[in-house]
Amino acid sequence: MEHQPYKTWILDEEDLSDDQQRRLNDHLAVCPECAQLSENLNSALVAIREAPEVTAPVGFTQRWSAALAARKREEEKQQARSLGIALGSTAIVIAVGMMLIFVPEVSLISMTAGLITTLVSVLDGMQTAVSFTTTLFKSLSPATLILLFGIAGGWLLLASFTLGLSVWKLAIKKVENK
Amino acid sequence: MTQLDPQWIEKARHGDDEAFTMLVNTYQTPVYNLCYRMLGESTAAEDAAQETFWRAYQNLKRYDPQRSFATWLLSIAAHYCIDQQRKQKVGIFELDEYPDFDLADPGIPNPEAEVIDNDEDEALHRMINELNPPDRAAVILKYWYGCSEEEISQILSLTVSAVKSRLHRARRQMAAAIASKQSIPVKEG
Repeated sequence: MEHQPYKTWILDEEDLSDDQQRRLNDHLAVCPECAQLSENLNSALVAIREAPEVTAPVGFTQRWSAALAARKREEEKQQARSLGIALGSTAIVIAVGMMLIFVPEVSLISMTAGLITTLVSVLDGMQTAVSFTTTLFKSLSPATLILLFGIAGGWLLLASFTLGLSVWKLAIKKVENK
Repeated sequence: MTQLDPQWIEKARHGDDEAFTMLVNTYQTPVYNLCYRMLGESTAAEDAAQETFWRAYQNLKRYDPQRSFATWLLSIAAHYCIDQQRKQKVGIFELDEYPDFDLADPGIPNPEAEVIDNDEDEALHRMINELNPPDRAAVILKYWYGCSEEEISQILSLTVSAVKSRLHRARRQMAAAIASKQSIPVKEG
């Protein structure tokens, strides 16, 4: 049996002319397949049309207002961060540019060379200090060493005790203020 | 659908947050309902509805007052839900999660009458969820919101012929779903 154009008419939901409607009704009366299609579609659409509108949960608007405030704060923070980074970068670029313009003898190469020289001097100084301390410890008698370590240890203990006391006092004050 | 005095929309467009909150209060249910029918789950629907209003808030300056505000909001919600569904790929409601529902026999008193509504809702979700997201959106807008094919085409950014084609395909799928799984408990009358 030919099911077209009847299936298309059923599924398209277009307005049919009187003649088309009569032809469709005649076909549905003799074609179980198209009649079943029409009935099934009707059941589906009835189920959809009869389903109620689901209302928004209680407090939806309040949650919206709270989320809006939080999002705005976050956006402001983000803007402030972006502004800070932009200003900082600009300041650095301007400072480097001005230095290169107004201090002609300072070039990028001379700045790098100066930095390396300073680094080498610091390392050399540290090596001298270590070597001096080692020589000093070797030349001192055991009794003098014990005395020196005793004094240093005492100072360390006293400093730790003072720090601990200050922290404890601050903590107590915070608890009292609460 | 609920319509709001245009002055609130105008105030909101000029940065009045209270006016926008009034818009949220007015349109929360249509937007939430669309998201719920698209996503099939209340938490996801609330998140989607909140996101819809946030996007509307951010883009309010671009809103064309000649258009219906409700249609504009539904457009944002529909596109967001379609995107979410595409990202998830696997639907929230898998067929295996639900038992098959038999057709209710209207002649026999049903002791589970109180839960029938929930069963119907779940079965409805199952049927709707079988449609692909844009087809689902077209069906929801057509049958829940009574939108014309022209309005649906505007909301979903499709041509009218594409909307007709999608609705045709969706109706065929829903009829097939009823035939093969009898997923909707049929009511008498």
